[in-house]
Amino acid sequence: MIDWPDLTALWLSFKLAGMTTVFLILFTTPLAYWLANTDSKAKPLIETLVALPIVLPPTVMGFYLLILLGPQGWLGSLWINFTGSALTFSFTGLVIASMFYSLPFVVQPLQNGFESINPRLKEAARTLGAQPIDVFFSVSLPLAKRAFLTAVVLGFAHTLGEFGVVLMVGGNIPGETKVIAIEIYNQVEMLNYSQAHVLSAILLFLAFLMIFFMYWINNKGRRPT
Amino acid sequence: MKIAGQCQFKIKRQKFEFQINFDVPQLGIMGIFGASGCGKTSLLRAMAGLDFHQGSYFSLQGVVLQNADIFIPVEQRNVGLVFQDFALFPHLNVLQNIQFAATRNRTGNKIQLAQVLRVLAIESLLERMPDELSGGEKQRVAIARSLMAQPGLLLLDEPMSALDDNNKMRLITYLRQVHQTFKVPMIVVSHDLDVVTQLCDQLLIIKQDSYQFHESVHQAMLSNDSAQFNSHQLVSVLDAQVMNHETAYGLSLVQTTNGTQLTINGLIEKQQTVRLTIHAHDVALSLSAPSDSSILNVMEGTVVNIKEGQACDCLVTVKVGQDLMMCLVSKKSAVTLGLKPAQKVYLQVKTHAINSAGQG
Repeated sequence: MIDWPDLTALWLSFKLAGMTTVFLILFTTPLAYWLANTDSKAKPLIETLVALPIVLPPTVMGFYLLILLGPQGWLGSLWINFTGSALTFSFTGLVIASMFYSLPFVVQPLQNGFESINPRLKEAARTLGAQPIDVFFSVSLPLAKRAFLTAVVLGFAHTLGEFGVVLMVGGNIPGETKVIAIEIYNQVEMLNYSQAHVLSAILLFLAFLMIFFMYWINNKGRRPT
Repeated sequence: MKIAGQCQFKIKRQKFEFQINFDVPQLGIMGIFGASGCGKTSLLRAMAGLDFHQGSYFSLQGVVLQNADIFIPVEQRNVGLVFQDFALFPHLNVLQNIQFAATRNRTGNKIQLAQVLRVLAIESLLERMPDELSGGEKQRVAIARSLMAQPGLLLLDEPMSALDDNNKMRLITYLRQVHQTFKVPMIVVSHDLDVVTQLCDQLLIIKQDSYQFHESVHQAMLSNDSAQFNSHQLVSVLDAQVMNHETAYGLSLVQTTNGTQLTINGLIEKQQTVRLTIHAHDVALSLSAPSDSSILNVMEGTVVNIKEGQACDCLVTVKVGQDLMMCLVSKKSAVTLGLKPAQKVYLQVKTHAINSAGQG
């Protein structure tokens, strides 16, 4: 008999991953487009900052985020001034932390996607009377749609598996900050291996499915040139 | 010459810098000829506004597009540019590609879609995606798209480079029709002298750091022999009208604007004007009229001058009626025949040696 665990944590993870991905796409697409097109000397610096979360231990990231988001922190105190509630140990705080944590998984595919567009196409669009913003929406965006799929899948899947950063800034509050990875850790701690098994298997299956879907679509639509 | 625009460009590249001043003719297709890497493409990009070169001046139809204080951005210039690789939008079909330009133009609708599609013969391609088109079709779609932006000047960068010889000649015909129908000033950049002589009316020749503008291709070829071209590139350029057919043999009889009659391959519509180019090395000379030759074009003329070439060649210019034709013979032949100015000679040209766009 499978002992079905409480799925609140799974649902919370979905909500967190979904919101994080949506906000990341909205806020970082301009950044990725800028990185793909700029000759600025600041580019390597920005790229480094974007890539840092890949190599930093989640505890290090979590520690700095805790300081940033905490009531004494720059962002945390600002937030308290505006909303009256703290960012740490809240779902909103988790979304903000996750956006830092998953940043490279969204920005890098988008940047690569924009960079792989033949620059001639954008120039042609402009000679045909399109303003730069028009070129972005009518040429760059549709031509980067594969990159968007990759960014969404990687950003979502990566946030879904988040553990260390959540533990540092969000703790273990059921229904608020207790995401699935933490729930699995709790179950193992309590030696509930069967529940840990079920939750882990769900996460493994979902991760496989999403990544497989991404590769499948990206291979299918690629026409030979 | 009526002028559409004035150019004074100071083109800076990594290795060199050059200043080039010329006027864009209102009528006729202007060719820019030069070896690869001489800066032709840089010049087009500067005219389109894609690159900024300090200290340049460019005006078109009385509007200043660039001077010391002004640099009108690409999208407001009304200058069409057909790229060497066509740059069709891969996510849009042919019609959507063309509509991309039509929906963004703000300068009236002098050039009509239906007419563009007909002149460039792309009506049947509208639903296709760019990667389902041949090189020649892509090129025509790219031209149609640029035309629908209602350009005041149309620039074409090496339009023939991706095409085989057959499609080259066909595209030349299309381009001449485009120019005749829509009267848009056109500038074509090419490193292929055959293309330039078949297609263009005026010619700007760029060689290293010097350049020269010629109001007529004919004169450019006659006056610039050894300095600008190697002798095997030289062609005589003649504009002619189709007078008659020899239907049984698939030949057309044409008459040049100066009255010289020639027989050329292919049945071309009567009254149509054709541009004829004949390579100097394809023309033979004799002192008496050949009586039993397979060569259909034999013309009597007088030697105007003889110029010794770099190698073992002599370039002989012959006046046939009112036309000047160039003939490349070996030095040995020149000596053996005793060629000298004012001498009467017979020129012989095979029909196959006469290139004419419009044969399709």
